[in-house]
Amino acid sequence: MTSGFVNLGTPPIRPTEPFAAFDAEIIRTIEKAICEAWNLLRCSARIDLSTANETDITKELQDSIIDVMNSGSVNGFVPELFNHPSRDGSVMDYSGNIQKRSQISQFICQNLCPYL
Amino acid sequence: MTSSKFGVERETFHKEDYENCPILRWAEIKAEHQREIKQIALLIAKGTEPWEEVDNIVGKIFHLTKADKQLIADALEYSLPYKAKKDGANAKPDDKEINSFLDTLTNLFQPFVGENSLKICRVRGFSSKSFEFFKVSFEHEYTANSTAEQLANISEILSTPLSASLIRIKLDSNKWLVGQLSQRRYWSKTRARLMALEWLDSGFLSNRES
Repeated sequence: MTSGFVNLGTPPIRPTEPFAAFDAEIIRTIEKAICEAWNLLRCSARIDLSTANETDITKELQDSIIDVMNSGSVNGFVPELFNHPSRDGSVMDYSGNIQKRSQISQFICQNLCPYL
Repeated sequence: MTSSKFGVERETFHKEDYENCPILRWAEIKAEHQREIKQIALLIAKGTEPWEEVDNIVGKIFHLTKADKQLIADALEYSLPYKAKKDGANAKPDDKEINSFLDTLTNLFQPFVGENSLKICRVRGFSSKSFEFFKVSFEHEYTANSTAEQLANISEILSTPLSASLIRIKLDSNKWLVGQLSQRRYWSKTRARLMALEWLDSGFLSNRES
């Protein structure tokens, strides 16, 4: 079918997603944790954000996210459910093919113990 | 290390497990932890059994979380290859263990249901020797009553041979009935954690109506 004034044509075939969509509440929880970690970092004497380079800020943010997780200050963002954030990891995008290289990756715990 | 098991005449393990085990040199341990270890060593030398303190100091050294410690405790309680432990793991869970499982599951899952109230309640209406049931509801109004149709549905499922340890039946758009094998090993706190993780990871939350 060709596109025209009343017909925009057939949409491209999307690949099948390799994993189920994350619920919005999970994304919101992680977002809250990152905001909390950033606020902690801004008030902290650990690093001067105005002069530090990107790598140092990312590392401190990672530590700050771990602090938030261990403190339990963000509801649901707890070590029972989330792994410690990792840096410079490669992750799949929705198509399952392209590798995305994020500064910080936050994963849900998996493979706890095969015998339980 | 989880590869240890009984072989034909001796215990076996994977050498790489021991090689990967991060045993620290004394000099690499923080001074405060060294002091604590020396105190614990003195207690052991005197004949006391401060095993809880040993667990605590190991947890501090390796930065184990509360959840990590619970996982280890559950693995030792339910997964050791000794007859007494195996029998205990397969025994019927008591009310306290089931309630502890349901409380853990509720606490872990509640933050992810938004404005809806999560209700996870035990259901005793389905008599089964091999399964225990609970209901999961995401509604403001919660009713624990079961319809005759639901009862008939469960009875039919339970009357046939099952090779599953978990049954999950969608009762309506926001309500599920979950049955697990009535064995203690399926009702540990770590099992509740695994179930919450499986629900989060599988998009279980996305299947409900907001």
